[in-house]
Amino acid sequence: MGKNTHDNESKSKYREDRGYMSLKGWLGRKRALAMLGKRPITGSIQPISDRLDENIAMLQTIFTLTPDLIIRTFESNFAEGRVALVYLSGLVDKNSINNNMLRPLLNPTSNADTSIVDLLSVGAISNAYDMETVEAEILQGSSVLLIEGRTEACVVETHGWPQRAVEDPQMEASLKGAHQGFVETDIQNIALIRRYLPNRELKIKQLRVGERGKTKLSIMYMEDIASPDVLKEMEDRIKLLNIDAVINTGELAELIEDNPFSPFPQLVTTERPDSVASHLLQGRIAVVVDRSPSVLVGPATFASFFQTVDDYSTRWPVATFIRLLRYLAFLVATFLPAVYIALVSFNYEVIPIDLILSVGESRERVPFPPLLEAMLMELTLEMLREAGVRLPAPIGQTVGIVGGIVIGQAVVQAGVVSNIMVIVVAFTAIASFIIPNYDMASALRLLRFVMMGLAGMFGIVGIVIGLMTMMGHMISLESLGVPYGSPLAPTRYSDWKDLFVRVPLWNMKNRPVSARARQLKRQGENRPEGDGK
Amino acid sequence: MKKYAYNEITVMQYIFLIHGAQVGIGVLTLPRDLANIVGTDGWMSIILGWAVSVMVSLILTKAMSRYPEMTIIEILQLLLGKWLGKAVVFLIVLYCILASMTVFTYAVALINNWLLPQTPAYIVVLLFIIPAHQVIQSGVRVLGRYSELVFYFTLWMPLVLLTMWRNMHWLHLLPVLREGWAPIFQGVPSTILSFVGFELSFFLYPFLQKKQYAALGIVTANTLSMLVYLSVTLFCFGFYSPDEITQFTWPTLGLWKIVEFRFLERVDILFLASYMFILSTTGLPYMLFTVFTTSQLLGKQDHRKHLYIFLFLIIVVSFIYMPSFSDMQKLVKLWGKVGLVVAYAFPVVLAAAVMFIRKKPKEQEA
Amino acid sequence: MRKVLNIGLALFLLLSLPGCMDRIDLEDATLTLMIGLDVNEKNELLFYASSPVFSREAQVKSEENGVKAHSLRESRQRFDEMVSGVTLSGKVQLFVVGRRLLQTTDWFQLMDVVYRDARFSVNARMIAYDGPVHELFHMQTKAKPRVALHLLKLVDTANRRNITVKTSVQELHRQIYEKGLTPSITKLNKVKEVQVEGTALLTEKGGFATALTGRETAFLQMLLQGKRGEISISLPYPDSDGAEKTIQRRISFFVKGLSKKVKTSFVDGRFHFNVDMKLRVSISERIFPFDMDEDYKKMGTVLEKEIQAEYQDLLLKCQKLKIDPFGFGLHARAYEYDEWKKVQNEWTQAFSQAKVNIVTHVDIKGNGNIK
Repeated sequence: MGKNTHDNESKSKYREDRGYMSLKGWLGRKRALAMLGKRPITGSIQPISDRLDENIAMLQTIFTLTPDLIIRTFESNFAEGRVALVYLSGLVDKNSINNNMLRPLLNPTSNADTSIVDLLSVGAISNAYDMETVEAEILQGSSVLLIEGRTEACVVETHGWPQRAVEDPQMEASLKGAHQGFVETDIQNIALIRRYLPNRELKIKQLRVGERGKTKLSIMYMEDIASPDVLKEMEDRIKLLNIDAVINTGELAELIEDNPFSPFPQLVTTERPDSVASHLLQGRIAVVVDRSPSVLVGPATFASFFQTVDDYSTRWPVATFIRLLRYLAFLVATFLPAVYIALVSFNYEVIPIDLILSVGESRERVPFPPLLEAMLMELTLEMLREAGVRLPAPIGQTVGIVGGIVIGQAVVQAGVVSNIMVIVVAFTAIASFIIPNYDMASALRLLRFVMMGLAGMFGIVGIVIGLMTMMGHMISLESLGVPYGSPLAPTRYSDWKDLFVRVPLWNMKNRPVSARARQLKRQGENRPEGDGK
Repeated sequence: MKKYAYNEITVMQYIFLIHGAQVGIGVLTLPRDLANIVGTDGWMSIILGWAVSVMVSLILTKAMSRYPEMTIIEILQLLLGKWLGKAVVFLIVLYCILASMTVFTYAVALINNWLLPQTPAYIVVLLFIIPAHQVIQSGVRVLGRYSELVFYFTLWMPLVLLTMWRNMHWLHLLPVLREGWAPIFQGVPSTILSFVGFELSFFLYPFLQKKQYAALGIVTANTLSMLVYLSVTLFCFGFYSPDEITQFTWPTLGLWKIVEFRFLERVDILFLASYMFILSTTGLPYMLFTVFTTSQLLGKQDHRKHLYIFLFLIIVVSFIYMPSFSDMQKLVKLWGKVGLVVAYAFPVVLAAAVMFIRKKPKEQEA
Repeated sequence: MRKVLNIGLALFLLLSLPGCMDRIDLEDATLTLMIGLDVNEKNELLFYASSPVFSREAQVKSEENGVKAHSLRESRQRFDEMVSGVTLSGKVQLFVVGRRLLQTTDWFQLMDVVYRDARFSVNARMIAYDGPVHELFHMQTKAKPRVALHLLKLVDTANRRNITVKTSVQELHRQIYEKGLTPSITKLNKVKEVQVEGTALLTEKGGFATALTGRETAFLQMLLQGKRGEISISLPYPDSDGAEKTIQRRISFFVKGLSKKVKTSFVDGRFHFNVDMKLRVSISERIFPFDMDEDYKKMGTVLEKEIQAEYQDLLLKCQKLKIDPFGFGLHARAYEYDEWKKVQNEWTQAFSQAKVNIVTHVDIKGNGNIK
């Protein structure tokens, strides 16, 4: 009974959000629908002919200037006539073709009645009846057998493109969590996720997006947990895309998010299968994008950008402390330079007397006003950071050293910037590295400059205005129709167990309401009793 | 189905919206007003004022529950007929404008007095327009969330105030009932004014998701506000000598000037900055319901157009005229008087009207 | 809708260009840390200000100026004419009033701007200087830090040992307006160096009444504040042949805990205050032989007697001068309101006739490391 009321509640909550949200997304969708009608159609359906020569000729006209297209024709005992094997050389697994297809076909050992399909020792085999499918399959890395006298082609899955090994995730390293990160192949990624959730409720809906790219998107969700409304919203948004290609997850996120003008990321992109699995278990929906080593997860809330997998593998007091540290870092990274500016040029009264004297002494030699000084240093920091990102590691270190010496020493000694400012910048930099999510950290970098500008013009009042506007924006934001500020505003106290404090796992009996799960209970009584009882 | 189904608020949001609307400019001056009228027994007037406001709130909730899906705008038009109803609704619009403008100018005046004395007022007005626009444009729900969030943001204040404990001279509070009950009752009118804000329930009630908690919610909101007033007043009485407190315009702000930490001095500046959040939860609901009502009067669903016009008018007016110190006192007094009518007399009248005029909503759907 | 927002944003940016009017960068400011008020022989008001100098080229790190003016705000203009930065009063730490000014009545009215101007710091310590204030402002020596900071530390640490009171500007406002209490502020004097010299007790209007030594201040503080900071008291131990000895019998102790109860009554046309003080003390010094194991009760009674005698002297002194720095008036108001109402405007007069009886109970809790 309790479960049922919960479900109804979350449903009605959802409904109210949806109506509200669709108002916003409506315009964009209408435009997309209009485009859908005008989509250029390339070629009409061309059936496969029963003459092999014709088919080969057709393929050769489709694939002009395609040196990597291999068409191997040979005689086989099992067919009435000749057989052609067609594939793109770079995209297939040569071992598989040689050993499992060519060898059995060319050196038959079994009796003559066996059908050709039974000879191939490959798992996935299907039939195609038109040239378009054949073309698409070849381009995706399958090999196709065309047989004289048959109007269906035999499509054999022999994918085997260049692949990276599964490695430690780069952006989201973890101490105690798993060390497997996503790679560029969606099948692999799905497998990585499925290893955590060997459950039949884990459903995958596959879609292809992009006229030219034909990117395969796999929407993954737990059918008995995830909210069907959110799922539909996600599906609708993806289906309405009309685009050349989706190269990576970031592009997809930008195309389907709720408010494209917001500085905040509204969907989580992660490169950790364990994190995706835990999101799925909470009732969220993941989208695996083929060819991209990160997975999109939604609906996201502001707080979810401050959680990491490690939070759940360390002991809960430690995890809580680190969680709080992150929120502190969020405040520092966003507001510290602004507060410095506001205090030094407007509200000096707030600084204690001893500190104000040392600030005054170090400011005295600086020829720039605080705002300019701060901007200068923060921009330098951002440049150093950006310079370091794309350089190979040995040169990257040089950048660090140059930056450290130039900023830390020379600039202060030359009297261009004050000591205190250097400390402020260093604090800000450290704080912004603590934010576990890269997208959120980048958003804060931008907000920081806005706050600095406001503080430079109006002091502490400017900061208050900035904070107010930011709050107002954050709470009116939604992610897939789910309020972004949840569980803080709208308040859902049951979710506070995993907000600032990470309570012991056995205490988190329910899934977060903020994820709109339709089945809330996630565990029974697990409290360890120790030897007392 | 429900008309406001897409814009429902939770009980929490209902509580914090009303509580936010109640605690505003009153808390800054209440201790002085009470000291003036009652003396150090003034805190008892607060409790009496709370009792009155809770009573009227409950009457109001009862009246609103007769037509649970209607705001006051529709109820009035239903009960009084189209034109008379619209006229009364128009008066309510004027009240909302008065309230929001009083809070707005008060905030600007405070900023101009304490933080930015040289900056022209219209720039401060412009500054506040930005978050106001951001929050109001998305309607009641976002405003409710905003009030919730601001409430959490202000939770540090009582903690800091508690560090003042050693500066308190509780002897000031004795003797209790020094002049008898008479002055305490005289103080009640000025305390019930501080509870003005619960009349927002006229608008909020139909938005409330679980109507069965409406009464509980409004009582909780009133009680929260009462606790805020009571603690602030007691702290002011404990800190200032009864002979001295009447000297200060804003005793509550002065209280914060004393707080000093090793890493932070002059907490009053930070307090005042965060106080802008508290003021915003008072002013913004009135602003929203001004534009909400006008757009309903003109039969428009989307209040945003009216919001832009309203905000634009505020900017234009602030260019031309900014009330002086004494004008503002008058404005606050005027709001007090009108608020007394709208928040205390009107609900009672409405409840009586709802009891006796039994009209069914015309377009009742199956 | 987006367009409206963008236009609004652009408009805002345009209009906010003159928004920096309140900006005063720290390096352009002259932070006044100490303000002095005094009158000269010709009855002209003198104002002094001490501010830190941030410049590295400057040899002296602090500048002191004195001007003649009619009010504090007027003096600020004078100071602005002299110092390089804009004079700011948000960080004033010390407020010094000279001896001559303290003797005039109504000097407190000069402080109006301190309370009126929201940016003024009200946590500045009030100081009475026994002498012309310029002495204090021009005492800069190489061995000491900036004058204001030096004095700030001096006052604060002296207050920690309860050698003097710490009365902030805000607290002074309360003490002046409160009818049942007369003000007490820190007193400084220059003997060879500037030093804390106990507490200055002021009359209702703020005129100088008398001074308490550091020793007496400890007793005042115990009555006024209870135990706050360190209270260490040194008393003579009665000795039959003590007068000629170089090393006399003395006992020192510090107060570990203190609780007091004031009983107020109105009998025979005057107020009676019975103060019952319970002191938990620990002996810190005893420079005469005494058998504590046997006679610790005797020691307790001796201490009780000595302390009561000290209080008796102190109270008599205050009653004679018609001042009530102890705040007995607050108790009178709290417990005898009807009688208080009649005399509230002449409370000090009523207090001078009141009967104050202080009873102390000393409980010796510690005896130190040796017997």
